[in-house]
Amino acid sequence: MFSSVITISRYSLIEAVRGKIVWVIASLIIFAVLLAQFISQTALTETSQSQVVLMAGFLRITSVLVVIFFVISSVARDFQDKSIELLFAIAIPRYQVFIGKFIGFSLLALLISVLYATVLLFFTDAASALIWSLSLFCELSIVALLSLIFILSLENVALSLMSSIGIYSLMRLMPAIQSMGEGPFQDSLFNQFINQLIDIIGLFLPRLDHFTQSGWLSMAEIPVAVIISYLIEYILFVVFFSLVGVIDLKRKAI
Amino acid sequence: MILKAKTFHNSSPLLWLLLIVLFIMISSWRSTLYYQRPAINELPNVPSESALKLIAASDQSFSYRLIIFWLQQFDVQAGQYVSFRSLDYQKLTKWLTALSAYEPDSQYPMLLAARIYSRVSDELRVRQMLDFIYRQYKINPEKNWRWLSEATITAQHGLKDKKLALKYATALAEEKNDKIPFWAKDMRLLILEQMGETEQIKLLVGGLLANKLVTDENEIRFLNLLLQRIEAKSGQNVKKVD
Repeated sequence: MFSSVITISRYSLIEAVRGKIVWVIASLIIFAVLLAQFISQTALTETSQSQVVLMAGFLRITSVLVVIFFVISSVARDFQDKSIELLFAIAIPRYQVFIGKFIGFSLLALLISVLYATVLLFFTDAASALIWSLSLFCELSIVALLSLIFILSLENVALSLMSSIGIYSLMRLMPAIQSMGEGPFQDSLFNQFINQLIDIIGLFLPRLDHFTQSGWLSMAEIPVAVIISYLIEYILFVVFFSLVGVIDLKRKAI
Repeated sequence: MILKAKTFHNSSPLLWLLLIVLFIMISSWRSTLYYQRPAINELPNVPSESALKLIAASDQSFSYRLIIFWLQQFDVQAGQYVSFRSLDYQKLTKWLTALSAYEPDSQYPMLLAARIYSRVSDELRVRQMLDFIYRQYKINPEKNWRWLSEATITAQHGLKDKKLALKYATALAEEKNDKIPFWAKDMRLLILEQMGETEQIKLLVGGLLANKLVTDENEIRFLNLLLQRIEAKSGQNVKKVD
């Protein structure tokens, strides 16, 4: 089992590295460092906090987009050159193909997180950079998993891109959407129904608003409960979404 | 089929000509736009709390820094400097208040109020900013005492309003928090001295020393020297009257 999973994940990562995605990451890092330099010229106070917080926010948003685009384009290419059909035809269970792909994309997420952590070490302390980048890895890994499910299920690049970006925004904005529903004059039956619906949707989505906060990088000490919270959330939802993805893939006809 | 590498010579001269014409058209169109100076935008109203949460997209510090930089740069619009006097200070105060609540540990809004927005020649606007600092001090004295001490100096020397300076200095002096240093608390006595309120100083300093509210040796020495200086001055005044 493991050899086929390892092979598939290895080739997914090799594709990322050979596909010049590392150069994209490097360009983003250079841009982030230039941004930090610009901020140091503009900020009137709290310069180092502003630098690290804005850099981290920029790197998080762009890396999420990079992962979504890469996962979707990679699997779409597999569909185009029929390699995914070949994988389904040979004697490898489909769940192994799914897990192999997911691990490969998660390794890309790990590579991005390690590179970003290395850069952030020049701007903040090691513990904060480590906790932030570990959380970024978890966030990117969830995003990769959802993008993988969308492209395998929809088999359409534009639809999968929109769905992945949409669900990521929803996962990040869910608490804000919920708090908007709780305001005054929201007591009509329709509003109550909508609020209930949003709460139910929110129940089955990871609380990404607990992940990768730029503010952690300027905090003196990050509470341990925060780290435990996002790690538990990550494990639970990776297992849950993987099951959803595998069930969907098993029913797919070649 | 073998694909050959394309060179510029493969393109038709007509296409090149069209490209040059379009380049000239775009340049002239843009140059006409450049001379239409864009209108200066007014400071918008502060969004509601839930709208701010939505803007934050659950990365509060990141959006806070973006908003504070936007506010700081609001006086530079469309390639020109907008005078602070043309800014709506009521809205500005609301923005600063909202930002202070948004990220309570940050000193940025207080610095903007104390060192940027209160440095205008309009007295009303300066008072609005000083009042904002005073209200923020009341919310969190430990964090904001230094800004209120700056506001005290601005009130005394900028506005020449000793009563206002005394109000702020009194707020500093009456705060029981140990984090506020003696020099900030002593500002009240120095302002009272300048106002010629010697009896009040004697009462305050006497009360502090008699009730042993001050234990720091340097502070006790300073208070005694102040009392001596006041006594000497009152002695001179008495002599003059004689």
